[in-house]
Amino acid sequence: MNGPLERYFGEYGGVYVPETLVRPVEELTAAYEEAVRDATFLEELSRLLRNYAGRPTPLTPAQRLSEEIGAEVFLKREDLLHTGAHKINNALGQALLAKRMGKTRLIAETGAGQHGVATATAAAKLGLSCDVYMGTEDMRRQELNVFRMELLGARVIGVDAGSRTLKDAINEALRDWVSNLRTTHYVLGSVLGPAPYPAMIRNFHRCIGDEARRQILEATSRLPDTVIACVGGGSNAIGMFSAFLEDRNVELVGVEGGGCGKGPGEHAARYFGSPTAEGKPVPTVGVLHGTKTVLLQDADGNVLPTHSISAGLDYPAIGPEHAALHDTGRVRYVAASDHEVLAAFETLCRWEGILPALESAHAVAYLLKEYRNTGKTILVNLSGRGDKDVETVRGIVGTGRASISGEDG
Amino acid sequence: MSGIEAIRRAFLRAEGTPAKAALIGYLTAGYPDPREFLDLVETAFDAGLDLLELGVPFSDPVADGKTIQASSEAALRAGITLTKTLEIAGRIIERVPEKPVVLMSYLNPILRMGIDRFFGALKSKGVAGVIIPDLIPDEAEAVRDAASRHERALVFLVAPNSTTERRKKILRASTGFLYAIGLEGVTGERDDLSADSAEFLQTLRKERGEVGRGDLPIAYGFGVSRPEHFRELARHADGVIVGSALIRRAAESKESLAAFLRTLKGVGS
Ligand SMILES: Cc1ncc(COP(=O)(O)O)c(C=O)c1O
Repeated sequence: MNGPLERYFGEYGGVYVPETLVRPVEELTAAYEEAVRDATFLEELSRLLRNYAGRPTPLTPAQRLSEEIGAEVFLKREDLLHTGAHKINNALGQALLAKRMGKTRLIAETGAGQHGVATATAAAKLGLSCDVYMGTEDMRRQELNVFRMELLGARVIGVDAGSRTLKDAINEALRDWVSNLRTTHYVLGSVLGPAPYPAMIRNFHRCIGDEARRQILEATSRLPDTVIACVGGGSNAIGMFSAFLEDRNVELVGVEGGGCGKGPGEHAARYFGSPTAEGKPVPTVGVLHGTKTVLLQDADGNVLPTHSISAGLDYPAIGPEHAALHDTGRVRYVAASDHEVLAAFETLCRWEGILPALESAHAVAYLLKEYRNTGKTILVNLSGRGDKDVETVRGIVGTGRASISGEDG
Repeated sequence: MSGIEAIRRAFLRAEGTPAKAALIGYLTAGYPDPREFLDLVETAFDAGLDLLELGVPFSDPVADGKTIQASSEAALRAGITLTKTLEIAGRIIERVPEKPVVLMSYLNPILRMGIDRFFGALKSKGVAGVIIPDLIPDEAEAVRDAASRHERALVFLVAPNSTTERRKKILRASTGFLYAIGLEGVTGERDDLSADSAEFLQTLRKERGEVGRGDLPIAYGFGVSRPEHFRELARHADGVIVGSALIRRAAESKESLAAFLRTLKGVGS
């Protein structure tokens, strides 16, 4: 947790921001590096994570599912954390840091609403005020989470620009931050943004992987063959993968939002590629929200709209550390389609009695697609619970229809 | 002529006028109407604009407030891209060759085009340089190389909260002119100038001498909305940049834009 924070990951990362944001990101870097050398800060964070958020989270052997598919599956239960997703690890870490820096106000962006809820929760717990930016399209998709944030005392500010989703909410949060630097800390919700955010946020989520590695060693006396996690910006995945990067025999797989097709705007899978003048899509490097990374853009360098059944994966850029891990080949990036995700959602409900977040169901979907009858030991990061998605799923499958997966394969 | 030289001459010319400082105007390419845009720019130059900052519309303009965001979205819908903006710039320069044009573009469209190709295009169209609001000198090695190879100005921005060390680094790196951001915030009209704008500009003038860049013009932008703002700033800066307040008039009419530019410079109304 307490080495210096990386500015670059291979050719990716960096600080691509208006000059006015340079000083705040430098102050943030210094504050973090100082805080994690202070035992009081670390103890307070670990106390909050333990007594308030519910860490460590269990590792559940998915017995019935394992028998059904012919692989030994373990689920890391981030869905059991307070507020229902891994996002609280980072929100508590940053909120505590903000308080230490003398800030009185938190702002955040949110897509699914999970990070907004986590930040609103951390703000309430630590006595800070909180404004959350959310695309109006996402507010419509995640009505209940909007109300949850308001109950927690946060103000939810609708963003009616661009595609009205997560990326536009980040734009607006950055504009707010640069206008209110003295009082405000921007709690970015994934491993994106200018340095130090990607490295700092990874460190706040490292507990996921550290715990899981210990737990699976206890349970099976060996490391898993494969670790699978979904990748929006990539915070739950990097938190999990970090602990296994040196274990060369452990295969690491990140699952992007494959959406409903491979055309521009139909998915959020950065490694499907961006359209080019030559025709065939290829993954492209660009700069968005302060970092250089792989992103979905048109031939003129405008960022493309994305689609995913899960609002939390509906974002055009992947975290810069993931882009680097892709290039070295250490992590394999794949995608699951909306349809496969719905089937996986149902499978986990039926076989394990767990409603996964639609984001997390992407990891399960890839498990079901590629690891049947392999006999392998597979660790799946269940990044969040699916209560927030019940309305979405009902809207798609309709009421009264009990089976999702029967539709067309 | 190099872009840097063209910009230097424009600032020198403006210094000798009653207004004392160069009037730099930001217009979003093709806004409000791509077909009338060349006429709009010509009108602006006739009404006293000394240097045009031509905005490249972008999907995610994080440094911009509502007015420029809306103009950028409208221009994107009208099909204005970086390539189109370069064509538009070329046609402006054919019509009004004596006034410099610089582009203002976020970094991503430039990366997508290719840094070298972009600066090559600036040169072939006669565009003097570029301002990239999300590029700081620390990340700019490749862009600086290309700008200098093609003799184009690469204007960096300095902020009121930049440390002394950063101000000096930016003064050393910037070519053409230095863009002094007047406030902690995004572009957009404001009723009042920030209280410390004069002090900020004086500090920059002193430091530009200290780092041996006494020849680098300093232009002040963000929030400049009224003739009295212009007059106050012209006492301390070599140029004053007006964006959202111009865009708002441009959306009304050519005449409204011209009348506003004339009152800014204090010639009639
Ligand atoms: C449950 C859950 N999982 C995953 C994500 C995706 O984010 P990341 O890739 O940063 O883990 C989200 C985002 O909202 C989420 O709510």
